[in-house]
Amino acid sequence: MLILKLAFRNLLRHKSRSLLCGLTIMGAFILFSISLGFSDGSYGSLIRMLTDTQSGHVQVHRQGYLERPSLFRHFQLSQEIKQQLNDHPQVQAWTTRIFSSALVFGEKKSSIARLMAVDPDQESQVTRIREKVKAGKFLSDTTDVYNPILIGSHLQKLIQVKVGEEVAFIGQGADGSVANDLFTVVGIVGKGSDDAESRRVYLPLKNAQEFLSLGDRIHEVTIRLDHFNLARKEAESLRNILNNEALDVQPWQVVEEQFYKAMMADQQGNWISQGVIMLIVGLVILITVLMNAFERRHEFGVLLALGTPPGFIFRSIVLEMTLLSGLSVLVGSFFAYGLNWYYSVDGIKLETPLEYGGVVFNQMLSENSMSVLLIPAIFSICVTFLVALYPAIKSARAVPIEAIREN
Amino acid sequence: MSEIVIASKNVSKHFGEGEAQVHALREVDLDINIGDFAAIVGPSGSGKTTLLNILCGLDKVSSGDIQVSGRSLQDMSGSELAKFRREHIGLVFQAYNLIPVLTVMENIEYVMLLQNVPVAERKERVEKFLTEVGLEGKGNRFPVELSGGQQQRVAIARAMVSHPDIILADEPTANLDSETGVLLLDMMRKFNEEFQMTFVFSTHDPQIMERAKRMVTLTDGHIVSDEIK
Ligand SMILES: Nc1ncnc2c1ncn2[C@@H]1O[C@H](COP(=O)(O)OP(=O)(O)OP(=O)(O)O)[C@@H](O)[C@H]1O
Ligand SMILES: [Mg+2]
Repeated sequence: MLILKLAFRNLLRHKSRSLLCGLTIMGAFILFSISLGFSDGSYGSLIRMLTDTQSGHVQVHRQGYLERPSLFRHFQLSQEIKQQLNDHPQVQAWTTRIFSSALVFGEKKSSIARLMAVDPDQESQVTRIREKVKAGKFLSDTTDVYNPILIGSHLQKLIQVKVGEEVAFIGQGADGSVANDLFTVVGIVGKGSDDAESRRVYLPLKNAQEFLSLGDRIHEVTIRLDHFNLARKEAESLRNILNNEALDVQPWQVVEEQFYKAMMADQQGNWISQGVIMLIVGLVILITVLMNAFERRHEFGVLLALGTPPGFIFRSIVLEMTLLSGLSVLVGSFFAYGLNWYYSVDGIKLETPLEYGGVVFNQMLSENSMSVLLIPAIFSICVTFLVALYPAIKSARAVPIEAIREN
Repeated sequence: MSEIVIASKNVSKHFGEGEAQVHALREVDLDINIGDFAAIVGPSGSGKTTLLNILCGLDKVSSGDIQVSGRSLQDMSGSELAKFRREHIGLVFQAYNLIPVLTVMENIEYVMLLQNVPVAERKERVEKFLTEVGLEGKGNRFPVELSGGQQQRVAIARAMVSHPDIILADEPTANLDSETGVLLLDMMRKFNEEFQMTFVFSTHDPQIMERAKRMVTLTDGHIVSDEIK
């Protein structure tokens, strides 16, 4: 191929210039790839944090519950559904929950509190509820305690109770009756900051069903999959398997819509810095192509005079730069892969830990995947291509005698 | 009467506007016939380069017409002109202008590649013309590794190899010492006789003029004489 030969030889003609341009493309590609890796890595940590502590990966509710949660939008988990969940290959674990609110009375003070009822054994397989207990014991670690509860640290301060003390709940039962009972504080959860769990009360599912007159009904099934990436796909699959009009199966992206949207918006900010990297690459390439094209004006004039079609000159310039870019990306891929891999195993330690939504990061981890290589590769090559267009058109359109006269 | 390759009909060419206008060619009528070996001579600035550029469509006429096998160059677009030159014209430049990144062989092959000549035929023709210009065995060298005279011989091989109707050469020997120049011209003359290849070249050198079969003299853009020897 004549055009390939010309492109290659012209690249080799100015070895140091091509090398410099290639190294810039490679450097930017690696930078872009690593920044994507770290961005994926930290969003990954955030998502894991959210799904591991609260939402799980997929949730099942009664239709309409997500839009307007209500004590009365409950459903019964049939034996068949349980079996289907247990049989599903991607489902690691699942648990059931009930939500309500009640007035909580301490010795001296009272407050309104959100109640979250969990199955203590199953819940700890789906979320890290055990790790949230800062004082006292977890629900299932106590015996002979009447109506054990975990109380959020914020709430605990508000109504001034200690582990071992009793509180009274007054709420509404699902049958319309007034629900009231005594509960015993067995542990404190949360760090006292403004997060959801420090304003919440956790209680065993069975006790809640009794307190709220729900029978064996629940509000939510929370499912843990092998990976959060699978959520959308498996939610779809579960929806088909359960095949129940009354039930609403949704991935975490829908369940935690606010979080997901905020994250996507945040992610858009990263594109700006990555755009700047690409802009710099574009400029370096532009300078290189312009230098090459300018120096070779005389030569292009000769080629045109010999009868070379202008399109051939255009293609050879574009090909030359795209080739350089492609090679740089190829070589850069090895480094980028290596670095991303390294930082995904052993992240960058943070001198001062970062806090994001109540979650503390003390190391930044990268995440290695095909897309952290592919996206920067496509961008680098496209930028090269676009930048080469103008000089290529200029050169192809040169007036031969004018170009030949320049020496 | 012999067959006409290129006809220049009442061609005038001026550069610039108003006061600064230069009349490089004035009403030039010139028919180039098949088998011509014509020198365009005249003092510096008389319009030799301008005429050659116009004959191959590298430059446009201000008035008049250039006709090649009944077609007017004036009507052709840029890429049509490129195609026209590729198929009908061989060019030899004063400064050789070989493609520096291609070897001697690849330089000679270049136009044939653009013309999609099959590989076997290409190789055969390249070999043949390498031998004809006395550069056998030097096909894999790059232009910088050759002397000026050798480079110009490659350029002539490049111009001839695609069997053009005519080879136009603007002062092909001006960059060479006169001995080398004369040798080169003798070689061109040999090709003219052996292959009926039509040559039109410009020159200042009386030794070169001597070897022409036809001599067209330009003065101040006019053809003042056109003699066949
Ligand atoms: N691009 C141009 N712009 C303006 N004037 C030009 C241009 N090209 C040629 N001329 C003028 O046209 C006239 C003819 O020039 P041309 O180059 O054809 O002469 P020439 O016979 O080839 O001269 P030389 O022997 O020095 O090569 C000259 O007066 C020259 O200055
Ligand atoms: Mg001249």
